[in-house]
Order: sequence, then C-alpha cells, then structure tokens
Amino acid sequence: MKRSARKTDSRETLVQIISCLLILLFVYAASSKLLDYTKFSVELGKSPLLTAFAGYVAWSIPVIEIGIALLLTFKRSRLAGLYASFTIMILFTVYITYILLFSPYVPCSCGGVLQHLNWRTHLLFNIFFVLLSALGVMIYQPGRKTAKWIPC
Amino acid sequence: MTWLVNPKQRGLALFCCLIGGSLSIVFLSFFAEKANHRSNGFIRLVPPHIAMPANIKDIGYNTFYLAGGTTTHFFLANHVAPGFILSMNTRLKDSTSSRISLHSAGGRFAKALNITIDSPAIYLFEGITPTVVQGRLSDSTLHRIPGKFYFNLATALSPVSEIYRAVDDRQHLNILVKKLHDSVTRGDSILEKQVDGIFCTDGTLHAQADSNRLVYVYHYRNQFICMDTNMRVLFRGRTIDTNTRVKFTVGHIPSQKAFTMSSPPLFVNKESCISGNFLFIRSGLHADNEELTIFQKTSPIDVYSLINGSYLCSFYLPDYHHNKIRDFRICGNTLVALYDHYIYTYTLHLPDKLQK
Repeated sequence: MKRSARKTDSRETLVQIISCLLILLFVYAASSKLLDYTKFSVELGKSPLLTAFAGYVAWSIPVIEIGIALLLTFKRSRLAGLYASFTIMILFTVYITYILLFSPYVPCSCGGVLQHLNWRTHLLFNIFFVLLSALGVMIYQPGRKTAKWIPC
Repeated sequence: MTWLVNPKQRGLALFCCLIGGSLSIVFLSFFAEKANHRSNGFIRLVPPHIAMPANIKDIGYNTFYLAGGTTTHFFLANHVAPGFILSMNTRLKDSTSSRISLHSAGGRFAKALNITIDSPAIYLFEGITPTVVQGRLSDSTLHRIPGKFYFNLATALSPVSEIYRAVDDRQHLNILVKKLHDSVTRGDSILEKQVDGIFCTDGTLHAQADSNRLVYVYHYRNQFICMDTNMRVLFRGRTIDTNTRVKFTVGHIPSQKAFTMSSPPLFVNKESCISGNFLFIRSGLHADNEELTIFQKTSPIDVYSLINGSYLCSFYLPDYHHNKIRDFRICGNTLVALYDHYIYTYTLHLPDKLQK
C-alpha cells in the first residue's frame, strides 16, 4: 500500500514536470510570435499551405498556445491540456513533414530561437514533445486532491 | 473524467488525436492544392523532336554558373571560386580551366559578384560596392572601373557601354540605366510598377549588341520588353499565360528593416535566354493541355519571336537525377543546360518555317 502511494507520488511529480516543460514551451513560442507579430504573419503568408488563411492562423496559433498553457496550469484541466498539447504538437509535426516533403521551398515562421533550428532538429524537437505529452496522458493520475496548481 | 481512467481508453483517445491532427493537415493540403493548381487558361504547342539529348558531363560542383558562350564554346564561372573559369565546346570536350587575375582588379569581391563573358571580353559586375571590372580573357590584367551607382543586375553591350538595373529611391522602383563611357542615361517608364516596384519588376536582362537588341523578361507577369540598345522600347510582348498582373503581396517587417514577399509569388517566367531572333523562356506554369505528371518531371521551354513577339512553340527538358534545370543557354544549335552539378546538352532543331 505504502509502496503504491509512493509510486503514485512520483507519477504525479513526473506529470507536473512534463506540464511545466510544455507550459514553458507554449508560453515561449506564443510570446516570441506575439512580440514580432508582423514578422510572424508575413512569414506565415509565404507558406504554400497556409497562405489562404494566414490572417486567421497568425493570431489563432499564439492564442491556442496560451490557452493550452492555461489548461496545463490547473489541476482540473491538466488532462485536457495534455491531450491538447499532444494534438497540437502532432499538427505541427505533420505540417513540418508535409512542407519538407512536398513544398517547392521551405518557409519558416517559428519565432525566437526555434527559427534557428534546422529542419531535422526541428522535427526531432517536435517528436520529443509529442512523446512527452503522450507520456503525460498515460501516467496522469486522476482524482487525487493535492496541489491545485503547479508552483513552478 | 471517469471515462478516461484505464490506459487502453487513453491510448485510444491519443490515437484519435493523432488521426485527427494528421487529417486536418491533409485536408489543408487538399484545399491548398485546389487553390494553387487552378487551370492556367493557356495551351502549349509542342512539335516533336525540337530538342534532342546530346551529351552529359559531371562538372563536380553545383556552384558553377553559365557566364557566356559563343556558337561553339561556352564558359562557366564559379560563385565560390570567382577567379576560376571553366570552358569547353558544345560537345562537352576540350574542357580547359583558366584563372583570371582578381589581384590585378583590386583583390577581394563581395559574394554578389557576377562574371559575364562575351568572348574575348570578360566583365565582372558587383553592385553592392559597386564595382565593375573588365578585361580580356587572354590578358592577365583586368581594369577596374569605379562604379557610380549601386545596381542589382547588369549586362555588357560593349567594352565601353553597359546596361544596369538600379533602384530609384525616390520612386521606390527598379529602373534601367545605360552607361556609355562616362555618360549615364536613365530609361524611365520601361519597367512598370504593379505592387512594390522592386520585387514586382524583377526579371532577367539580355543584350544582343550585334543585332542592336535588348530584352527584359519579367519574372512575375506575362510580359517581356524588347528594346534597342538605346533602351527605346520597340514592343512589349506577352508570354502565353494569362497573368498580366503580379500576384503576390509585400510585407514590411520593421524589426528587421526588411521588405519581403508575404505570400508565395506566382512565378511565371523563370530563366530565359536569347539566340538569333528567338527568345527562350523556362515557364513556371503548366498548360491546360499537359498532364501534371509531365510538368512535374520536366521543364517546359517556350519559344517566342523577337521580331514581333509572337509565340512559336514549346519543348520539354526532362529532369536529370530528380534535378530541375538551373540555367540554360543557346550556343549555335546546341542548348546547354545546367542541372545541379551536371551539364546536359541538347541539339536544337527549330522547325524551318519558324526560322523565317
């Protein structure tokens, strides 16, 4: 009994660490986009996939990222946040793969340091976060009423 | 959330997210494909056997570019090694490499250096400094002519006269400029502004001094301009597609002090060259009467008359090792094409009735 409680505790901690990492990622990504919003929307317009709705995508991506970071912050919505971050990271990964495989040229609209990654590392980076959020979903323990938010 | 307690259910939910996420990009790509591949509203005439494959040669580096040619020989310069010139005949034999003495021309050059060879004259253009150097291939010394203005494209008419494309700051517009000895003439209202004046007027410039001809081919609209060497417009020709207006938008990024295209440009006319009374343009658009698979694996070259601007015919140059052609030039009746680090020549047989 004692042992399983400790196990639950360590799982809880791991989920918190994962959530912290994801929050960090999303807040950083969203703010670097919003800080130079013009550049982001101009670069996004160059993408052959998105040019038709670059305007909507340009503001909705950072808003969604901040939304997911909020979901991850609170205990009650953490599982939903983990699912959401998994989905959006899958979305980004498939998008990058598509651009790499089929686009005649490769535009980049990621902000901050992320734009200095080459496409291979970018892909690995994304896959890492996809796996991380999947892990978070799988080991998440529902129903324990401990901390309501992450002090991180 | 009691319905997502056991790991199996969560795995399933993750799987659904994965499928959903991937599908949304697939839908997006279908949508974009539809928007990007509208019918272009023109057809090509493709008589058989115009360009027949002749020879292939591996030149080792993809930094070589076509610097000039005669009817029997052509010259390659190298972006990375600017002092190095490779020349060979159109059967890709007798290749000789030579060095030009950059030292005699004042040493180092910026990366934008472009070498043009109109044998036996050689010209080095570099518009950022700006620097113009000229000499003869056989001589070891080159002469530097101090530049008077910045330019972004140049071609030589003769050892004493050149045509430049420069930016007029006040109008924010590309203009053509002719320099003869020390006098400079502006060619106003030749290049026409449609969007921003700089990107929208981009194109390629060709000079044919012996037939008193100058041709400018726009990249992003269906137009080429035929002029005499005094930049008097003889006529404006239309390429076969329907894009009279430039299709892209330009954005300004204040944080980088940069202007950049903010939508993918519709690239109408890519590389081009002139030979005799013909203009050859590698088109970026597929015609309604060609299959998309053919367009994806070849490069269509459209041929126009430089006498009246009419469209004559087209032919296809197949991709080589999955590379599209980078540049091409006509030397006599041979078409010399560059593919990554290969040279591929084709023998040209333009139908007799087109020659008149």
